Order: sequence, then structure tokens, then C-alpha cells
Amino acid sequence: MVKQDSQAGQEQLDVIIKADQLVFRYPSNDFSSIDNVTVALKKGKCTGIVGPNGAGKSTLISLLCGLLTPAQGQLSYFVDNENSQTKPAFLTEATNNQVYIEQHIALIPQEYAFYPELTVKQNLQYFIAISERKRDKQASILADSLAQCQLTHVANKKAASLSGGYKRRLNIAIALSKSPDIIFLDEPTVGIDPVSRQEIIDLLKTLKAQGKTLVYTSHMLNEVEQLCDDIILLEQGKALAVSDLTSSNMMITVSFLAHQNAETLRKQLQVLLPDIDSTQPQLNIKIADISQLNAIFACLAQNMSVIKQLHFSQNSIDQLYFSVYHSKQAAQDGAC
Amino acid sequence: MLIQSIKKEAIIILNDLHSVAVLLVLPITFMVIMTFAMGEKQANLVKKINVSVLAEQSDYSLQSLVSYLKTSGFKVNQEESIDAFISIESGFERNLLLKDSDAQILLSYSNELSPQTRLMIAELVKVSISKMKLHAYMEEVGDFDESLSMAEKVDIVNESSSVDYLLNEQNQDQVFSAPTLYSIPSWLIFGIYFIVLPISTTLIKEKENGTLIRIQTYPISNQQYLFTKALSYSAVSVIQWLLLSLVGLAFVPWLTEQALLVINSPSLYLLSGAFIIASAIGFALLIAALVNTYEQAIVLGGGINILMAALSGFMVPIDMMPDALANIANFSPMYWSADILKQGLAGDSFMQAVPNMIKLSVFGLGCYLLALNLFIKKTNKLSWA
Repeated sequence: MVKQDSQAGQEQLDVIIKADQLVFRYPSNDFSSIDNVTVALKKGKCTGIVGPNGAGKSTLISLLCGLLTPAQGQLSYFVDNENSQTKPAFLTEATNNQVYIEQHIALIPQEYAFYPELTVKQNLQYFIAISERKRDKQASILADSLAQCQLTHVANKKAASLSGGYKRRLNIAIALSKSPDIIFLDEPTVGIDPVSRQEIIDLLKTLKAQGKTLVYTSHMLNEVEQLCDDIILLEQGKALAVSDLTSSNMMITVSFLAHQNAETLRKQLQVLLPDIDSTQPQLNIKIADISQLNAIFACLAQNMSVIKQLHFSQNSIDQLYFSVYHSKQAAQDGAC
Repeated sequence: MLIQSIKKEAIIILNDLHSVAVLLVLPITFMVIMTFAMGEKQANLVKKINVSVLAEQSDYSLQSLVSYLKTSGFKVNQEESIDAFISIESGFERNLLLKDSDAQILLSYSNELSPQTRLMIAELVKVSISKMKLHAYMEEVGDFDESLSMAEKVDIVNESSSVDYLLNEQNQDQVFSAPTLYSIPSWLIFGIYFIVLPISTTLIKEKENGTLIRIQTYPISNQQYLFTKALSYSAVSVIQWLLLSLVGLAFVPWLTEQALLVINSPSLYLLSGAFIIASAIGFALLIAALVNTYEQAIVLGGGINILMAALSGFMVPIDMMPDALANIANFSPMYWSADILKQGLAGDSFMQAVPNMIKLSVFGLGCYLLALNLFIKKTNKLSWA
């Protein structure tokens, strides 16, 4: 019990942004663009926000990074300032949140959010200057940002003359020059060649390894799968699924022989996995918790004689996306 | 932060050929064309004017006045319809160098002449009378060689540096009618107010490419951001102001062979620049905060500027407008701006310029506060694209 509490506490500490039952409606709309969404972004992890166009991804990100204010619900940011005397805690006051956003959050919009008339270096100098970094540190921040995004050799080139891949890197370098803890990215690989795309994905992986928290929206589900630890699937402002991609994408399909002992196996699996319908001729067992695997394998091993076919698969994010989306559509059609 | 912001805006403007054209090339072109056109128009007009000089007795001074009127371009005492009459009372020559000698000269016009042409004739007649007085003075102190003819003496007076001095020190009405003084302040002001286009397009670009959203997460408030922008563009406007002043005061008169403009009150001229720029930047920020597209910026910003310029008498002189329209000019910030600039050129006192300073300050500040309000509303509506 004590161990469980400690684990829960640790999970709590890992959360860097908590959004609790957020609701948001644009004044021009008669429906909620974000409807009762609860999410927790974990420190040092990458969370993907996916969904069809108009699902509310942009609105959710705008809420999470403080651009919009929720009509209902609570948004809180975790603060653990090593230099501060105050204890680590969640900030919920809007004014505190604004300070937090200014100090810890960086955005990388889908557009090239910089000044094409300026050189790479001048762009970075401007954004470093408005981030109120100390003057003596500005040069080293500039050099680090250039180096990290491999832009040093084009530092004096005009941003407008850069290739698409370099423009994307500059977009990221500007965000990094703020030394943020959390980075929100909107389709940062749109419109670039596969090599540049992979380089950017690798850069983002490096950032994640450095402990940065990433929030990633993209229609490129393979990228989301490569990068993200968690996924939030949105549809019409609702979070249809909030999944941990590291553990929830394993599936075991069991087909039984027409054998009376099969009933024993069905009953044993029903005990282990109360949510499954053991009367079906074929069981699709979704592994929500990897710690269950040993018990399930032991059970299956004891009853191999009644198993006609055993199939292991790992759900791709595409399958998750489409299964959730289609089941929602089917439910809606049924309701009609 | 401020230096980086000014640097950024300056680079953006210099890289944008349209902005450079709008801020520098356009007003300079207008200055040259309009000064040239007005100078030519005036010269051609003068050649057609027949002046009749009526005097009770013909004396030496009268002969010299006729010579100076002719060198100004007038036809004098021709047998055709008379446009203007100069009546000189007897004893004029005796009182010539006295202070109130001008009271003995009566100038009247044909009813067919426009007020503008009458004003021009009056100024040129005054110049001729001044030259005649200078001629008489030089004669009296023995500056002329006795062997010189009247024509040679007239040439000496016309080329004399004292005449330049007289021309520059003439009363305000005369100075104000010079083509340079009519065109240059007007088109300089016109150019300064066109800062509205670069500010608007930059703000629209920043909104469209997500830079404005990005900046929302920086420790810079909307108030600070707009104030920094205002300061940055003010710095750009100061450079524009200095360049246009230099070109307008020195280059354009030289190019169009017109009289040089003299700044009689340099301190008021410089101060007027500060008020004009503050007013133009406030107005530009208001339009920039109001518009959402480039088309709106051009139509609204450019359109209002052209309308203000027309109403302020930049295109058609105010004294040629109907009264109702001329009265509207009194409510135009461009008119106040041109007026205070001319006050600096004419050498008015600070106190005389205070009403224009107050009007421009109230207009600039009012626009700025409205712009801030609109800008905050606009940024509050920003969300991830």
C-alpha cells in the first residue's frame, strides 16, 4: 500500500501540466470546441495530440500553452525551481501561469514564425533579446541554439534564402533559445524532404532525451509513433482516448478448439481480465498493463491443447486512431 | 531589447522595396514634380499678366520699377486688357526710403483673376518694389558707376546678394507662395504619414506567420510590444524625416531651379518633427491594429492618407477650395502637421505653434490608446493555427 502511494506520488510529480475538465467555446460557435477534456502531460515525455481536422487540437494546445483561457476547468503548471526556497507545487493562478508560460514554454508553429528579411543570427538575437536573458549570457545562448540545430554555418544567411529544412530548424532554434522546459510543436516537418524530416525527428528525440517535455501535433501518425510516449486522440472537442503508447499497443488474439477444456481456459482468462467477453469464439485481448503479461502467458501455456491459434500483434497508432475513430462513428450512426 | 527591435524593424523596411518606395521615393518624386509643375505654371502665368503702372508724374524710380516688373516676367503697360493696376501717388520718390512709402502704392486687380493669381502678383510686385528701393538706395550712396545704363543697373540689383536677402526676409505671405514652400512641406508630411503601410504589413505578416503567437509566450506584454513597435517606427520616421528634409530643402529647389527654403526657426522645425512623427505613428498603429489583410491596409491606410492630403490642401491649394471644404482642413492632422512645419520655416515663436502641438499630441495619443485597445483584443483572439 505504501509502495503504491509512493508510486502514485511519483506519477503525480512527473506531471508537468495538468488540465482538468477543460471546456472552451469560441464566441461565434454554438458548440464547445473543447468539451470536458482532462489530460496530464508528463515531464520529459512527448505527448502527441491527434485527430481529424476540426477536432479541437489547436484549441487544446492554445489552452495548454495559455493562449486561450478555458471557460471551465482548471489548468495548472508544476513548478520545481531548484533555486527557489518554495516547495515544488502546481500553479493554478492565471497570473502565475502567465509568468510560468513566459519562463518555461516555447511554441513552434507550423508556419515559419520568424522574420525572413533578417539573417538566422539576427532572428535569434531578436528573440533572445525579448526573452530578457542576461546580456552576458546572450552570446552563449545564441551559439548553443545555432549548434544544436546545426545552423552555425548558415548563421549569416538571410532566413528567406534558406531551404525548407533549414527554415524548420530555425523555427526550432528560436524556441530553444528560450531554454524552455516544455515545447509545443505543430507539424514541424510539413513540406520538407524525408532526410530533413528524419533529422528534425532525431533532433526532437535528442531534446526529449535532454529532459524537455514535448507536445506534438501532426497528421503524420508514423512520426507521432516514433516520438510520442502518450497520445491524446481528439474528436469534436472530446478526448476519445488518452493512451500510453509504451504499454497499450499490444494485442493477443486467441482462437479456441471446440474442446470442453476450452471453457476452463475461458474462465481463467475472465478472472484475469474481467473486461473481456469470454463467450466469443475468438478473444481479442488488449494488454493495458504489461505486468499482466506473465499471468496471461502462464494461463495460455497451461492450456495450449485447446488453443487453435494464437496471434500476437502490436497495434500501430494508425490502428488505434482508426479503431477509436470508427467505433465513435459507428456509435453516432447507431444513435441516429 | 529596444535596440534589437529598432534594428529588426529597420532591416525589415530596408529589405522591403515597397516600403522604401512609399516612405522615400514617393514623397521625393511628388516634391520634385509638384515644385517643378508649380514653378513652371507660375512662370508661364506671369508672362501672360499685363500690369499697368499709373503715376501722377513719371520719374526715375518709376522707370526702375517698370524695369523690375519686366524682369519679374510681367508685361507692363501693354495695349491690351489690363490684369493689375499699380497706382502711385505723387511725391512717392521723395518718400521712397521712408518706412511708410508703401502706403503710397495702391494695387488693384481685374475681377477675372483668381485669388491665387492675385496673391502671386502681389508678391512679385512687392519684390519689384523692394528691388526698386534697393536701386534707389544704391544710387543715393553712389554704388553705381555713373556711366551705367538703367538696364545695367537693374542687372546689378537683380544679381546682388542683397536681393537674395530681401527675398528670404520677405513677409510670410510672399515666402509661403513660393512653389518650394507650397510643395515640399506638404509632400514631406504626406511621406511621413505613409509609415502606416509598413507598420500595417509588418503586423499582418507577424500575425499570419505565427510570430505574434510565438511572442505571446515571451515576457513582453502587449503594451510593451506595441510601445516598442511605436518607438522602432518612430526611429525609422526620424531618419525618413531627416532625409526628406535634406532632399526637400536642398536638392529639390536646386533640381527645379526654385528658391531655396530657409529654416528661420531650426529649433521649432526640429520640434515640429517630433509632434508630426508622434501623430503619424499613432495614426499608423491605429490602422495597423484595425486591419486584418494587406488589401485592407492599402485601402484603409493609403486611402485615408490620400483623402487627408487632399483635404489638407496638398493637391489643390486650400484658398482655391470652396469654403465648406476648406474648413474641413482645419480638422485634418496632415494640415496641422504642414502648418506647424511652415511655422518652423517661417520663424514663428513656440507660443504660436502651441495650438498645433496640442492638436497633434491629442490626435497621436488618442490614436495610440485606441490602437492599444484594439491590439490587445486582437491578440486575445489569437490561437494556434
